[in-house]
Amino acid sequence: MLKKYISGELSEAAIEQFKKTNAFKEYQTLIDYAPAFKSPHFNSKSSFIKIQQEINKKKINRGKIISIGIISTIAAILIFGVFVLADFFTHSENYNTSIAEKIEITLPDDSDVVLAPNSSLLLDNKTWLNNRSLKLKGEAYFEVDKGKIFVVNTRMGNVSVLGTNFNVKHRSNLFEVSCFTGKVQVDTGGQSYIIDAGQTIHNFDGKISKSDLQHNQPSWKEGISNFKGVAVSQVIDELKHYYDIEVNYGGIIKETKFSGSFEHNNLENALQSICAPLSLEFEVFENKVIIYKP
Amino acid sequence: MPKQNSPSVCQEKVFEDLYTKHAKNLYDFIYYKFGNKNNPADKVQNAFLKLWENCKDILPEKAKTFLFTVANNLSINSFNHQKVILNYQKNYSKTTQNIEDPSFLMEEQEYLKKYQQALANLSPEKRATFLMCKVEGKKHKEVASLLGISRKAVEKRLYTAIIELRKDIKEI
Repeated sequence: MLKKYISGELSEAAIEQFKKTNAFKEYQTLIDYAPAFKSPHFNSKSSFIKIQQEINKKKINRGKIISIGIISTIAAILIFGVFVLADFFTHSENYNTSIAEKIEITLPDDSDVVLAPNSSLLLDNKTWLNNRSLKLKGEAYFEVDKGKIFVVNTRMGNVSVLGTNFNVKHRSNLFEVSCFTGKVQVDTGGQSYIIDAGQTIHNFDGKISKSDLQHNQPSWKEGISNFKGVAVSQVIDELKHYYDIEVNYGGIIKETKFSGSFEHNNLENALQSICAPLSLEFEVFENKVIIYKP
Repeated sequence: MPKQNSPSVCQEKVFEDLYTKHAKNLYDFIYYKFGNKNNPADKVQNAFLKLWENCKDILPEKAKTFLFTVANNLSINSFNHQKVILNYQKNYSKTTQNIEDPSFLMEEQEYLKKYQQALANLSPEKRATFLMCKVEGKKHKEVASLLGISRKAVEKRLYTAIIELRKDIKEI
């Protein structure tokens, strides 16, 4: 009966009869309660944006290959030698990390770089030959081998060193350099500063300040972010580099200062450690977080 | 050279349309079949990325089959052979009015727990078919075309799923 009912082969009279049976009642309860198991909401928009980002990354690479392909077929062997040279000079390496991703890079001079989440590092062979020069967006920790001058360029300032360990953090309106060994020279806001080991320099919206370091390694490498008297809005922006979340905190004062830290492996704990000291509360719905005053 | 006038998956418009058309269904299918631990959203993304990488070789009308096969294979590879326990809405009630009778509410909760167990006992294929039909309200024909099987096969899975669920719920 049920089999025929499902495939719609029963006549109306037979359906009426079937509906009176116990089997049908059980079937109906099954169907009635099935929606309780509905799949969780699928955020198709944000998922598509991620796909597009991945695709764009690949496109850059593909674009390079295609243009090289066309040039080489036209010019073929005639300019092959020239081409190889040109490629050598203009070739650039681009390293990217996405949210919550860290990579370790060894540069051609054996210097080591650890790239923090949501950051990019561009190594241009042309400038690399004259001096060791890199472009950085985001945050990275450098262990530079001794040699020619080593320069890290960001939109908000440059760091020049000869051979030291240091961390550079660059956000839209923040530039921070921490020196762990040796000395570095920082050019930011039109001025030059020498930073010794154990010191850190901030440029936040043009306001420059120096302070002492408490650790001998950048804490993000160990999976923790530390803050001392930093605006909550900035702390939350930082949180977004380590967790793929949207944060709504409209109800709270963005300038509230926060001192403390959060970890990178557990969102609940991280939120708890931001909210508890400021007596705020939070709720998490999949990848949306709401922070509010109780 | 690819023909310019025939639609190709490599065209961003075509790709986006395919996404809007299939992403939700694919997500539901992977979720119902392998559960939440399998990270269905991730599998959907990877399947679409694979589609983009191979966009030159896949006709738009074959994209759906490709997506479902890729997402399914990715899930099987990482599937840990544990029972798939699907979460349910704790306060789900079929009646819209507020029933104050606590014993009825208790019974309802008991029933849902058993239901969850019984669903976990189903084979992944049957579970996915049953829930796609009965929760997402898809027609047998639609599900058949999504899974690339015949309508008869969908109905057979549905029928056996219901028989097994009924039997299980009684026994638990």
